[in-house]
Amino acid sequence: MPLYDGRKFAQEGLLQVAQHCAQAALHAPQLIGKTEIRMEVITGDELKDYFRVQDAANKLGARLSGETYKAAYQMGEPPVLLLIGADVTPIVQAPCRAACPAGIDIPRYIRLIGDGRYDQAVEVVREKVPFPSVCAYVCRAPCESKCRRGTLRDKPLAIEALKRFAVDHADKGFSSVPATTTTGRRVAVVGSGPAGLTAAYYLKKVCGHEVDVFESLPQPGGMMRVGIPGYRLPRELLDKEIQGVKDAGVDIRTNTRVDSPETLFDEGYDAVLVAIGTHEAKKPSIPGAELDGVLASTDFLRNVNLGKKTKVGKRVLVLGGGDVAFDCARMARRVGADEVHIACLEPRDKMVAAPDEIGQGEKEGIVIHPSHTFTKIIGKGGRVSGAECAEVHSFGFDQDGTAQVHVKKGSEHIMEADTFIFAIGQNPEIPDRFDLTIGPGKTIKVDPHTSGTSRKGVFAAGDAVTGTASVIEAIASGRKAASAVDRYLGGLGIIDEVLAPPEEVVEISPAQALLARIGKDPERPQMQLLPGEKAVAGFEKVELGLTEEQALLETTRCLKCDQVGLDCGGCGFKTCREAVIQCQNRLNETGGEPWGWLMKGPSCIWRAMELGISIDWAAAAAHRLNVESRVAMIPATAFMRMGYMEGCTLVTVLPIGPCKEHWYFSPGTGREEYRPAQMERMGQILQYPPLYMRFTGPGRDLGKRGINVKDRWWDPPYTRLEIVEDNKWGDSVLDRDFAIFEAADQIRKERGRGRLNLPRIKSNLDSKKSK
Amino acid sequence: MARITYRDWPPYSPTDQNRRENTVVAAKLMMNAALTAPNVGGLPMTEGEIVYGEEEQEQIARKMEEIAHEKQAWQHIFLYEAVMARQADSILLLGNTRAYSSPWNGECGLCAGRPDCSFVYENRTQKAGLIDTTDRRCDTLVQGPLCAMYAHQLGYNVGSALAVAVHLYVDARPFISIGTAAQKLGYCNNSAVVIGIAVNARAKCEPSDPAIDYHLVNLDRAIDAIRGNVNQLGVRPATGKEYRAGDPAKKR
Repeated sequence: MPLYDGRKFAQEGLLQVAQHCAQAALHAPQLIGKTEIRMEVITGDELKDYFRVQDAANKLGARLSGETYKAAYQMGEPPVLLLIGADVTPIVQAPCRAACPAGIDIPRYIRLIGDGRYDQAVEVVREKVPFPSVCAYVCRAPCESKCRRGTLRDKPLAIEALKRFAVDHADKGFSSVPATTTTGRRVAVVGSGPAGLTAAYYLKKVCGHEVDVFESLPQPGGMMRVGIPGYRLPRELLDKEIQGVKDAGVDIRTNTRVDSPETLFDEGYDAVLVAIGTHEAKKPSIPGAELDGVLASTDFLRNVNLGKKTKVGKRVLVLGGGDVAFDCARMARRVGADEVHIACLEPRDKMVAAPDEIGQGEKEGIVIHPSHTFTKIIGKGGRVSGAECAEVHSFGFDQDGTAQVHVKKGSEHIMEADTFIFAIGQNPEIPDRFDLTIGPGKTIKVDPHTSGTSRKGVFAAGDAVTGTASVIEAIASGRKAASAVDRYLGGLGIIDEVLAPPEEVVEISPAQALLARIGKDPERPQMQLLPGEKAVAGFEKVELGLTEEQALLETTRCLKCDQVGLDCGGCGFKTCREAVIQCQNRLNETGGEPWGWLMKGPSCIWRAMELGISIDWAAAAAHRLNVESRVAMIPATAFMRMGYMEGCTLVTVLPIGPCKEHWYFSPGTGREEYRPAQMERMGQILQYPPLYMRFTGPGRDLGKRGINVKDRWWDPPYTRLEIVEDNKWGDSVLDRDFAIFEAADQIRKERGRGRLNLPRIKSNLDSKKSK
Repeated sequence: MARITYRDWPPYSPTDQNRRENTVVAAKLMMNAALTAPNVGGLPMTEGEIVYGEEEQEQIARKMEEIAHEKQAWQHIFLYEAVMARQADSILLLGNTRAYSSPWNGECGLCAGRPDCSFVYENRTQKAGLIDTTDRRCDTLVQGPLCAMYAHQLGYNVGSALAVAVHLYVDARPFISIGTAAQKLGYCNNSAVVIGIAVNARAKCEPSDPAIDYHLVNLDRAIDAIRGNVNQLGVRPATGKEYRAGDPAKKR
């Protein structure tokens, strides 16, 4: 007996060949170095998905190429398909945008601010975030840490300050219009923080479900209201944005505690989203923690923010080095403390609070003691009077997340205080009757793809899942959960909105004009701050924002990483900026859905070419190993529709294995040799007809689109075309296109991938049909 | 009478010449590979030219330098790469003859317009769907809009040519700048989009890691500068004994 079946052995080798091909694609020479090559490998039963799409198209008379894969698959020799693709639009993924958890198109709103279109800039933010003002005031701006200006040249762009400027200077009032269609499905959202309200907003406004939000506190907003102090986030802005969510049709019920999802299901809700945040402050078990005057950060902030009378002593000690610790410290200054000290385990340069927050705290007189820990809280008559502390030599965390601190010998001393606040982290307060599986840090365990919990119909989002995180991360989590809940309720899970109007190209923007007038390179601006003494006297906002001149000049520092930047004109637009704007407008027009039969445009010719080089190298690698391969485009488009190669606008398939010969020599697959009569005699149907016959040539429907062209060459008599059978190949092809989309969407649904917007695709295709 | 040019620097020695001529052979094989690359729609559409020779390469490099100063965005790319065009042993130019004149009509939607190629047709003078290729006015680097699918196709050709260069162990790198400058000079004149591949067989392939301000500081210029400043480098005329009378290094 042979050791191994040779045919099977060879078949398995194809995967290794695919690996070689993939390596070759990645090592191919670059033209401009701005094309990110992506690849996926498909073989075995995964090919069945493709055959289903193929069958759907074939029923309508097409012969979607890939017959050879099917034949090989049925013979037990499935080829390996290597999908190679890239985003070849002129819009390059800028690092700032990639770093934004919500995926806000940052370069675009910076461009719009530079053009003086502040309203539109805010609309761009609102396309991904229902709380642009909150985001502008309190975002930790992960985008700035990735800004290429900062990593390559000098300092990153002041992106957060620019967003804040746009929000402050936008004239237009924003209103939310509820969805016109309703699905009749009901969703209960537990918690009205950034994650809960974000999810509620999209589920109601975009998806059309009935959404009720349950909040146990007297006012909505969650941590945005009871965690973030008013001097950082003015309450009138928060109220305005929450009103926007209500205007969208979301019902927010305050002072309503939910003890169990059962009660909600009993009330007729189809899905429950738990977004309860992390409102329970962690308290270490050190002696004296039970004394009067020892507070937890969340309780302290909640009471002050809700306007409850809160007394602190004259000398306050805060333990913690994050933003919450600084919020507590700065808040304590505002409610009467004369002296506030912060002590944290980390050394000064590794404190987790935002540098701005630390700087502003120090200006307000807060004293920082880095590398310090407390071993005991000392009391007098049942009330805190100080704490025993020591300098930290080193510290780490064990598997349970408990801090293991090593103190310097002989560094122990006593710090006096009459109020002590713990700000060392928070946990979610999950009622027992929710009966959800709990993960590390007492957070709710969810499926990372579907946001679903251990209970059917119950989803979770926000800090309750991730642990304490930033507002923008909570918003991103809420978006993801909204999409998942919508899919669970039978929707498409598409929550994207297009709010900004089509962008126009300006000859000289106000920012460019200002830069030309000033004539020198601007530097990163510093936001003006309220003087320390004035700041601690009340709850006025401390950061006063940028001036218009500062903001406009700051936009000119943007390196425009979202553009290829060669300004070559090859795509038909004179500058890459213009191409990016046109591309963005077009994507918005179609809701991001593909326009054409094959690919998504517009494209940068150099990026397309760069991808071509990689594909060719991959194919050549297979040939060097004496394995058949070719480059196929049509099947790739079907895989794109099925949700493979997400984010790519041009994809090709490299079939590796037995696929080529049949392809080349089978009659009826050579487009240029298409002879209808002959084909008909042979009983063959072309895999897809040559387009000049299918649509009687390019530009046929220009008239339908309101474009007047003098030379209506496509009207009879036809001088150039050999054959025109418009009815045969015209509208029916559009139906076939739709059949492919429909079948592909079904596969996406089964596989839990992002869904296609079929109604929109249908209207796009229908608009192309002859009337 | 034909031009007869004399220049004493840089030297074009017979060994240089031999190496360069061999790269022409390599470029020819690369051209063959480009022709056999996969074709979109199975249509022939590849055009190629090999440029070899000091004068010819200098002409392309100068055109690149001229373009460099037209626009900020092009400046340093074109200036740096002009040096590389000059230093290349030979240049293979590859173009696509259809990207401008006859779009794919593949309903692909890859260009900036609707999926019926109307974007390309709308921006061209055309009659019966046949584009007027005599209109060669162009105020951009490339006379767009082009058929993006055919531009993608040119990538296959370039890829195949480069793959052969790898097998022949010659250094090769594709350049947008060399291609566009050469195209404006009339090379590959049926193509609206051209890529230049610099082919080199030197021991040290300098263009792979150019110095900062490469157009100012590069090996040729550095050597030339040494020649110009030879006195400052300590290579002084002998001031001691006349060398035929004794060793000038020895004191009188």
